[in-house]
Amino acid sequence: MTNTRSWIFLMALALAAADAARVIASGPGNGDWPMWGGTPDRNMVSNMKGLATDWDVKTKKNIRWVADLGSQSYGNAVVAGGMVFVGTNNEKLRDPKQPGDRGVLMAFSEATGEFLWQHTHVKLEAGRANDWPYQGVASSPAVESNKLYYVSNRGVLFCVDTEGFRDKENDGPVTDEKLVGMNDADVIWSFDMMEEVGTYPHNLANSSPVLFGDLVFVSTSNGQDESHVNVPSPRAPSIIAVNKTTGKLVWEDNSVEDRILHGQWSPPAVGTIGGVVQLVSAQGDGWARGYEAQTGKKLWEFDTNPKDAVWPKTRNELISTPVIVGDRVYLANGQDPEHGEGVGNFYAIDATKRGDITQTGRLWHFTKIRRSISTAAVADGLVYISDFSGFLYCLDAETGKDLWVHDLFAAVWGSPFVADGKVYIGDEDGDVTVLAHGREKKVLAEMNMGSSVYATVTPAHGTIFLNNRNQLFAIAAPKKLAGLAR
Amino acid sequence: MLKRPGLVIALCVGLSVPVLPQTPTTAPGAGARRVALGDWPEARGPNRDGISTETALPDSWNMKSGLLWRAPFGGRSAPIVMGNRVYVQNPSGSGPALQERVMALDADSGKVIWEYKFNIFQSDVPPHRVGWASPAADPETGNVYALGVGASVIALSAEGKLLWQRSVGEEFAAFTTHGGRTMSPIIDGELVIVSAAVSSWGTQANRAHRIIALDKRTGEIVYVANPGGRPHDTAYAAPTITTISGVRLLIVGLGDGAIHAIKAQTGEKVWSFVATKRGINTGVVVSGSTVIISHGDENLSGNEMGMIAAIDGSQTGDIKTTKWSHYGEQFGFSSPLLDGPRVYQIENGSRLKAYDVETGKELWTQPLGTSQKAPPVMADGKIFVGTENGKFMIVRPHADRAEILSDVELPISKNSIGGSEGTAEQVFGGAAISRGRVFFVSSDAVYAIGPKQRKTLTGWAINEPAVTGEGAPAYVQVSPTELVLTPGQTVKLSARSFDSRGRFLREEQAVWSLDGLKGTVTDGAFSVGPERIEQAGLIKATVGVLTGEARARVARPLPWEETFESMADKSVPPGWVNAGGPLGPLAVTTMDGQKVLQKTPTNTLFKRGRVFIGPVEWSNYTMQADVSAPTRRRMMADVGITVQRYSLVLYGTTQKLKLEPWEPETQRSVTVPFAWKADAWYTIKLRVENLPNGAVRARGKAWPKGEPEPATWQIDKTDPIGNRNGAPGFFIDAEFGANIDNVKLTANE
Repeated sequence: MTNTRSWIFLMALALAAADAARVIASGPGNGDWPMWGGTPDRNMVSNMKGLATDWDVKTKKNIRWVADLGSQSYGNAVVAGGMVFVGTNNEKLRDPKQPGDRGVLMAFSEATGEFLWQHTHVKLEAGRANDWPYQGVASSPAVESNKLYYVSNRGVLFCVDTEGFRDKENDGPVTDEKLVGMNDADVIWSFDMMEEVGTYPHNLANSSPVLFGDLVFVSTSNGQDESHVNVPSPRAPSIIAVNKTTGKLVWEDNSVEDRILHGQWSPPAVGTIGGVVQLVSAQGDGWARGYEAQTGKKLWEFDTNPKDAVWPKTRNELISTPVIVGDRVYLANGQDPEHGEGVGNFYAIDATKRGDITQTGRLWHFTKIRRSISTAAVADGLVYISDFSGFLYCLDAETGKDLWVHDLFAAVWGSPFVADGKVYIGDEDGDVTVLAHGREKKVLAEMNMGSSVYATVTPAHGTIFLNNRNQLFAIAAPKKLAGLAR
Repeated sequence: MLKRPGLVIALCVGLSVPVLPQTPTTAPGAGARRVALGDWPEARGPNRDGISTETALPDSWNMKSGLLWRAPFGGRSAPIVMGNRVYVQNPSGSGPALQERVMALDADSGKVIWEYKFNIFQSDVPPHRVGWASPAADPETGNVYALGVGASVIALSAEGKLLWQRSVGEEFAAFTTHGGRTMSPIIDGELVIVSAAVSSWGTQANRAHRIIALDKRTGEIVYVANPGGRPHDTAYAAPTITTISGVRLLIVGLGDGAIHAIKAQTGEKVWSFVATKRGINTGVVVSGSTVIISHGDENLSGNEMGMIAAIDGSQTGDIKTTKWSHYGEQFGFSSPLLDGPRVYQIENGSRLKAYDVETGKELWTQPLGTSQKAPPVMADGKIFVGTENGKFMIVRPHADRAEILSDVELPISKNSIGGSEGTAEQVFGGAAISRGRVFFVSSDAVYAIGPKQRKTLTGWAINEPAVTGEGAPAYVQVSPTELVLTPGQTVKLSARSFDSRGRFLREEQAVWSLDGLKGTVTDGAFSVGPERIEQAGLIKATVGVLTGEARARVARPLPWEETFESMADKSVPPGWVNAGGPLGPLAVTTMDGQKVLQKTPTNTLFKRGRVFIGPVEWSNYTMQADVSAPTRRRMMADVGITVQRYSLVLYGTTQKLKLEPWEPETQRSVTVPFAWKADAWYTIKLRVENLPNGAVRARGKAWPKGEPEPATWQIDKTDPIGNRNGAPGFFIDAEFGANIDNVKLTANE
């Protein structure tokens, strides 16, 4: 045990030293968790200490507050500026003037869980082909300097004021909002991807934005139509960069054309790789691509499917988010949960290579994994990745060798999260399992959240924010108890 | 319309059509229903509740011991068993050879006794979801009935010979989607009952999840029931038939999110309970007059998903209250089981849960797997069920807990009919219990568990006396109730009366009349007028104060041409199927001084659809039309014509010309590049002809309108397993609209 700890400590030191040389890396920063993954590299890791490891949603043990969401919440909470933001649907009707099935972004007070404001979006008229009933807003927002960016269920990239109208200002250029109450959203600008770049989102536009410099990046979710054979808009891009101040398109890339296997639901990541700030995007043909973030120049592409794989039996799409750690990209492939379980692939990719790096950039390939929509957590030389069959794997980051596996006995939609020597993961049965972070498996706790957990732990200022299907929980030991324990 | 082998298969177009015998061979109504002990004639068993009264069934088995046989025919649906035959419905072959199939296997050995294969056409169902439903066997005749994923109803004799087939897909424009969800048929008296989301013409032009009852001997349509509202989804809940307060009810959840009870023999609505804002895929179970319902989606209010509840099924009208209810568990696919004072149901995450039937009190939870579609069956005090993650479980339920007797992981899938290989064979359908054995189907195989020697059982699992009506007529049914006719044709209809409990009384001497049809009707014999025009309307039968009606559409004999010049704006030619719903997918409009048929721009679900305009029997003919489309958002419409189940489509965005009988099965399609401009007119032409040995040749071409017709066909496909007949029509996918003009239909020379 001592040896393991020392080793982890040494690894942590080594990583910390390496991280110091990079622009972007996982960490607690000011204690906010302002985007999916906390940082643009999307690594599901935080240096935060003292997060709760046991709680009970029935007795409210270590539950600071609970806020009602709609009936389905596929997005993840982000925390910034004393507020928690999360996407859901409209089944927790907060404004009778905005009834019916809608995607909803809700803002809550981080301290109390008080509902602050919401932004609702009626469903796209085409229905399920573009905007699946009741799936709500599934984009996890990104917050920077009081501005929040997210993609609505209508395929519109929004920039809104984190304060809503509660700051008594109507920020623009958009100032003609119809709803301007204290509980309504203050839109700064919006970019309609369907109108502007012709996207035809398959089932749901869901991208979680990431920012770098003046740019905000999103996947377009362009995909097939209901025939699941035709891509009705093959000239629409997979990935776009929009000026974060003006909301104008800066660059777009369409390397996929009509080869989209199904949809495009993987959000992009940004990191400095080999000295170049790259945007990494996992796309609808099952390939991951790296771009020079500023210009959109394509640097590399990597096929995540074995050449002999056949859609949909063994060939997969990409729903997981790429994770950038150092010069590497970690990425799993899988399929829409609707398609059930199946074989999967997980890779460590050397993203300093250029061109088709399917062979040259493949550091290792883990094939025991099944279809996965989870995003990896990489910490201290270990990689945690889960799959839709409910297995959580711990791999050696250098070799890809599996060190241990834990069967959660339920499908996993969310992702493992690592902080303070622990791994947290939720599953479809609503269980959150806490394990020891390390080369040996040790289950520390299992708590049920009352309904399916599709989300991943969001840490902020010592509290875990986590949503099940219809509730957002703030989880932390009361401060006075923590004080007494000390 | 009907196709009967042995009759003239391809009615030569343009010839006058003889009078077809339309009289049913037996009296309608629910006769005695007897199911032999040991038979499992429908997906949910003899009583449509997943229960068998058999005993001494296996407690455990594994791949080495207790497995009687494994036959390499994967599927999605439950097997059924009649005597010593196991019937399964599944896909056969792959790629261009892929068809849907009904098979009879020997129950002792798994050996194939016969198989019957049929085509899928004009459908969005993908190859990996073919064979969604189970067949149903009629205990009286031994006939086997199937509803294909493309909404074809197939009637086979016990020897696997085709008795009749009916193309609900074309006749009612069934909406058969990527989801594949298809209800398994059930049989009641003289009726075989199916359902689908359909939209035809007239008052039934709106899309609704309708229940369609066919005469089991002839395939004639006896009733089309629409107890509910707009469908949110396609749905495949297993129906049940039960008698509550003396009324024989068919109870089923539909795509509109409601559970409906209709009179099984007439289709009249008795009650509805709206449970969810999405479609319902779970069956019901009935204890006395208590109906246990469940679903896995949004409730009418609140932010919890899923429900299990008990309602009082002796009510009528729109039921709003429950006896008890539980919210928050997603019971989306599996079906409940009754076990005395307890009801079991499996939620989507494969946790088996038990509730008290009277109070709804939750008793226990037993995890089975990770994901659940298959319904459980129960016999001998044990639950038999497979999971989507490849386990087959035998579970003994107790008052306070469940006891796992057997938990077998199936082999790694190597030849799945579904969408996944490389993990344990998935189980989507329920099991069947027959004569000491348990049968089920995985993604890769049919399994039989149990002893080599089958148990000899005598007596009846179900022995219901014949139902006789009494008292005054309360309902008049005109049958056949849906007709597709040609000018000059005569058809015989009957008017049948039923009492207030939906029980058959007698054939009535009705007063007959026509509404919107040119022709004559005397004593139920309707003769279509000689005019060579399209028309659609009603044939009404009045008995006292009651009136029943049949719907008929009359197709124009070939050859014909339609320029739409004589038609009013916003109108649709009469009887065109799926052409004129409330949203007006197609309507005549004036464009540049010319009348054209326009696909109205719409960004709704109805931007894409198939329209059918003639009888299903037509074969060996050619269609030509002019088409144009605008461009927007980097996209342009896809618009095409359909002949004999082959579509020739101009794809706008991708600038292609494609011939496709069944779009998602892409190896059947033939594609050539074709550059065409937005807002310009092009002529497309499709000729289909039958060749010997079941082959069909389809040839297509396209050219700028006004230019000379190219001498060569750009697409020339010979389909070795061809579609031998089919209705003409259109395929259009046009969010921003498309236009059609100068439609010509001619018999091949």
